[in-house]
Amino acid sequence: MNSEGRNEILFKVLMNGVAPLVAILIAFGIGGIVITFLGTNPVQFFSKMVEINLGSLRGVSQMIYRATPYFFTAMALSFAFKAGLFNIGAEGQMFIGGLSLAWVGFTFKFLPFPILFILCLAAGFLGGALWGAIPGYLKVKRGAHEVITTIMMNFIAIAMVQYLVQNHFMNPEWGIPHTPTVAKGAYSPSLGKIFPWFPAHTRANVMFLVAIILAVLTIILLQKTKLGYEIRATGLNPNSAEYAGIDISKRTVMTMAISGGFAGMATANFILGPGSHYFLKSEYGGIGFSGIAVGLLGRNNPLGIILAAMLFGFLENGGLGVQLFFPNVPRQIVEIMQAIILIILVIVLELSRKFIKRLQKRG
Amino acid sequence: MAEDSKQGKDSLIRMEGISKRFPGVLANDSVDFSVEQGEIHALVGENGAGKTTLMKILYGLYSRDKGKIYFEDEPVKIEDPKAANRLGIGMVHQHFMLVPPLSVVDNITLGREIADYGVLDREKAKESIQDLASSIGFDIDPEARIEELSVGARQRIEILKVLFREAEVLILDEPTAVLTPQEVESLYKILDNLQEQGKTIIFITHKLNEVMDIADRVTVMRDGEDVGTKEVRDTSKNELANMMVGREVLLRVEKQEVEPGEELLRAENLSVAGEEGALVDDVSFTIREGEILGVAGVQGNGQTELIESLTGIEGFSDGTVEIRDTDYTEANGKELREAGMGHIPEDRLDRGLITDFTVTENLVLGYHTFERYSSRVFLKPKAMESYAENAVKEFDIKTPSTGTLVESLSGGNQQKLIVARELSQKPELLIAAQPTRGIDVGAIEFVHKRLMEEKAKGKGILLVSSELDEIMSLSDRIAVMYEGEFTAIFDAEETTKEELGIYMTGSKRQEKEKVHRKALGNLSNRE
Repeated sequence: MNSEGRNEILFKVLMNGVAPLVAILIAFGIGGIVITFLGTNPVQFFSKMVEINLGSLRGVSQMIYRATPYFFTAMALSFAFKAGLFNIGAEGQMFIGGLSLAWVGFTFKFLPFPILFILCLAAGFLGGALWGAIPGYLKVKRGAHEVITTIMMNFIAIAMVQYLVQNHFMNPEWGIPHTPTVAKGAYSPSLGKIFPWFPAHTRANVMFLVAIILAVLTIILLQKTKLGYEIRATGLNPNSAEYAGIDISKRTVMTMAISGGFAGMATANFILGPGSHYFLKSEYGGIGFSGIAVGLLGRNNPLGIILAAMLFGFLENGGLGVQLFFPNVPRQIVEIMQAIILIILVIVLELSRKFIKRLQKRG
Repeated sequence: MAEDSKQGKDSLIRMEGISKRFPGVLANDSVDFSVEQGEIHALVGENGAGKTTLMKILYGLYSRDKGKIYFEDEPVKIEDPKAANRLGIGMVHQHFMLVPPLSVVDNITLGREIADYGVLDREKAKESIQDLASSIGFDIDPEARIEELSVGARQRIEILKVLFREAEVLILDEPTAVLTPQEVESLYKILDNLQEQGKTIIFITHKLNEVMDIADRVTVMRDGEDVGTKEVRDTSKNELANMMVGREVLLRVEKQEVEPGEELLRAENLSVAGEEGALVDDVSFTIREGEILGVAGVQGNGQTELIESLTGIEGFSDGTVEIRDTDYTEANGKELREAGMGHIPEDRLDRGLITDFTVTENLVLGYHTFERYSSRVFLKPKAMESYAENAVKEFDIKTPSTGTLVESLSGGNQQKLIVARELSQKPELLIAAQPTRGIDVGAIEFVHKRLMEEKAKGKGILLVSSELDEIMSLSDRIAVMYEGEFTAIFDAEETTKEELGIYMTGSKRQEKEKVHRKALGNLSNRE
């Protein structure tokens, strides 16, 4: 019995701690080799990256700014996962939520801060939630698998958002299709305005705090509330959940809605935070899909996801900055490394699982 | 160790001083085990006694830490199943290793295809499989796909698979766990035929009836040690049970005479429609305080549907259910629980538990919405925890802590957990479906005792079971369910297992009107 407890702990440490770290290290190793072949010293390259991100609070701020949206799309994946659902539709939910929150922001211009800001977030959540609830409903009523429907819903969302922006919200004189700007009342204040020690006029903003608050709220929801208990029960064993009198159809739709809601808030960081203050579709492409990787790397744990999102922010921000110093290394090296992390992670997780099984069998 | 029977003939297989340690558990502790040519040898013990471990060592699936294996008195190394196959040892696992979309012939020949110059000769394969099948006495369509076959048929395919590999020694790991009583009968016939052909059979089980029915000799294991080998004709179920558990065990609980009180549950004309005819067909019954109504029947005759509808998981297509004169026909599980109906589901893993939840979380499953354990929004962890600690103590659930995942408990302890959960809420009425399926003797005794205590407290119990012994020893009245109907009803003392068996197979039925009235309690047994 005791050894089972020990094995369980070992398993958790392996799966949640060691595996992601190993994956990250190997990714940096392979990235380093590629960089060496490109004629650049990888140690110099990576130290420059560290310097850009962590060398100053300004760098840290940039990194946080890049990391924040990943947190939301990764939470979308992980939350659904807790209920046994695969929400691959964060991308579409993010676009619908993004346009919804921008619309509230540029329509109800008369509302003051923070009312408009909060309304915008609510609109983003609701937009994403609606887009997530539809596949949930289709699954419950028609048995349509959510992986298929959420993927399909992505295409619909992308095309719909494009259409709406170009034909309804855009001033044809602007070169690129984007919405009007949101009112000041909707702005998400820079972190520098809240923490005096943080450099002013940098881009990390309140959405990062919203992310942390959401992570904590999610943990409380899942672990401490009746609803969370039912969501987890439904995910782990729908038959037993049904036996327990849980309305699993209702819980499925609700879980997909909350999941979509998280994704719907992802672009608030860009639209409401310091920057252009309008919805610009081309700027957000891929954040929903990368959320899948971040969610996996964070092992579907809200705090793990914050760390994983920071790593992706680190790579992205570092990749942008390091170009100036090493022009012969293409920026895409960062994307390659993100992909390697994911592939290696899956392999290491599988190996850990086998290792534990061997321990249990062979003794 | 010093068993007389071992000295007699030369043994075919002898395992000496086998030890195997898993992290923290000594699964086999210098076990001696020997099998004679041509016998059916039962290997019994409670869950976790080390039976399967020992056989997996013999079959080369596990390595041993210590000990020797002799085959025909020659020391052998069995490093993997292939080596075991070469010695003519084959194993039929508890969980079948078949490819469902493939045909019988493809499954059996898989890995040992009959071919000419690389081209499969399916006709020849089919022929040899059919010969093999008829030699042990069953018919088989070699082109049938596995997914179309019943569980019993699949098991026979597994046996054929082993025979096809020219096994002389067959190890069967709890082969009856998944079978209906008829399928068990036909398995016995097959084993008899195999024995006649001179094959040697090792039969792992924890059901003592089976040992008495089929085996020549029996070896009992407890806590990783062998506690002795007996000739079956020289032993008894009681002796074996005591050896298994290590103390005196009551195989039959003392039936408590309780004067039945008020009517608790009244079910009239219940039906559940299926795609091809009714699954439950016009079933009526009542349950009174202090009464156990047993429902006997071969699995798959509508018991599952009756229970699931009665407990609010599915709906009835017709009929009414009243609990203490209040209508509950349309009630859902939550409302029924609030009305005092407890439910021990027939499938503990698929219905009764969430194995990735902790002991505490499972102990409130279904009752998590009760005010005791949650407010409007939040769970009440303190209340849950203190209740869980009490329940673990009171019901003797063996677990390292209340925070342990239920997945790592033994089957018997998982079942005790469900019983603990359902009885802790002090139900007036308990629906107990297969309450002792797949658990060991000690746990069965415990569950039976608790059910009797509930009855003595004046609770009403509907007991659905395919174990006739269980039905006979607990029930006051016994209904037989066949093809969705109650085809007979008896007072427990006026019937026998044999008689129930006849009704269970549908070869006899009582007059419908009489069953109906008697089940509703309108006809006393003296009429």
